[in-house]
Amino acid sequence: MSYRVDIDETLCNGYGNCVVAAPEVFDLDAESNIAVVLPGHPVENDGPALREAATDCPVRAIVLSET
Amino acid sequence: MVVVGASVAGVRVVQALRSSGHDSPVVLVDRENGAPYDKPALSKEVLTSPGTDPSVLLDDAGLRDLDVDLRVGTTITGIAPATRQLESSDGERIAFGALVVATGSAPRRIPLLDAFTGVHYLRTRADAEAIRAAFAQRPRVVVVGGGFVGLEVASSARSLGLEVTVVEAAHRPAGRVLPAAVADHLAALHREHSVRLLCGRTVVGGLGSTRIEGLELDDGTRLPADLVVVGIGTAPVTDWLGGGVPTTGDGVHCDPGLAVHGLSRTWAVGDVAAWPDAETGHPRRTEHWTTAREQAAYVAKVIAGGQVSEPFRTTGYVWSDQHGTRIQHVGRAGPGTVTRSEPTDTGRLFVHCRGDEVTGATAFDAPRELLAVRRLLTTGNREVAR
Repeated sequence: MSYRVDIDETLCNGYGNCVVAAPEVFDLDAESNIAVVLPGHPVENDGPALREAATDCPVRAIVLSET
Repeated sequence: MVVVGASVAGVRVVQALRSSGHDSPVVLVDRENGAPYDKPALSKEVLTSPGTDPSVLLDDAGLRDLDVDLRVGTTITGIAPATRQLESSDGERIAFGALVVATGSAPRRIPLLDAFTGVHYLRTRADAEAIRAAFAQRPRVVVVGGGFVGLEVASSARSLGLEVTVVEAAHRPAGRVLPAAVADHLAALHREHSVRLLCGRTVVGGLGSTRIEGLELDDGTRLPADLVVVGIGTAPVTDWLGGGVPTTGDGVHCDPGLAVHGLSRTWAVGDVAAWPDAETGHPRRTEHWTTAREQAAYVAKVIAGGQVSEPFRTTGYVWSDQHGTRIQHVGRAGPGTVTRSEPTDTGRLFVHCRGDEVTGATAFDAPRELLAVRRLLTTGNREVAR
């Protein structure tokens, strides 16, 4: 399953759980400290890691939509 | 399978089981009514913003997806290990195959203050709503206990412009988790935001007749108060397990894989679990959101029959938001560790070391730097695990 990933920047507080859950997909932006999706992602087989990251977010800032 | 407790740990067990393809019937029981909800916001946004509810962990659609039999408003009062049945408050018996104990913890109380109104504890949505309603009367607030919950309540009250005093028995706030240098930094943050912080003081009595009017401290100080919020720690909820399962004041005794001693196919997750730490061997119990989720994922894997040969490990990641400052802590600090402090582009990072080895870190508005240490500790753990 492939997804579109949206990060609600008003909610994200830089907890970093998404980066730990899916290090290949997420990082924290160097200036804003907000989660960002790394270039080239998401790809098709990021699915399980994305779902993990989304539920691991304490403020539910990661919104996945199936594409 | 039966999961007792539908907070973040219990719900996560069910979610992780289902995503691993485990499709046997699951009963999820919780003593509270309504949809299971997440607790971190209770000491923060829910207190400061009328109309803000804690986020729901499992809505109707989620329930259907998970195909779980959720029984809210149901307190488990006892357990019959021989017949593998739970007894509920409404007289029902619930048979279990696998059992997950996720009953969490309850606030420790100050019996001296039990006779007064205006004294609050914070654990549930109802508790938070009651404090929020009391805040609207513009009370002078005294928080007893300078742990993370108490400090977050103090921060929330200050953000509403309320007068706040925190009474902490130890010499520094949050000293159970944070080393002295960090706790001092945190204390300074609170003082900058006009929180009156009284450390090394304990409450010896309440003032007033029925409604609380103040607190008397051990040095004779009489502290006026219209609202008292007590946050002096929690005790795991284990009474329902009776004598069949070894518990202490510090939780349900588990093996290094979170399996409960004395009951087959039973595991504990979240605040209630006391397990021997994989690194130190010492019993450990945490009250952390992220650790609860890690425990839940671990146990789900075991129940689903996955190959889990490694003991449970956690980096012990915790966060807190106080006075608009993002506070994050990971790993350990304490006797035997040295803390050094460094400014970062956006804040400050405290790194805890034993010799050359980094054992943990605490960040104030420095999420990227904290994340780097967290990744290091996670990788370190993985290496050890291999």
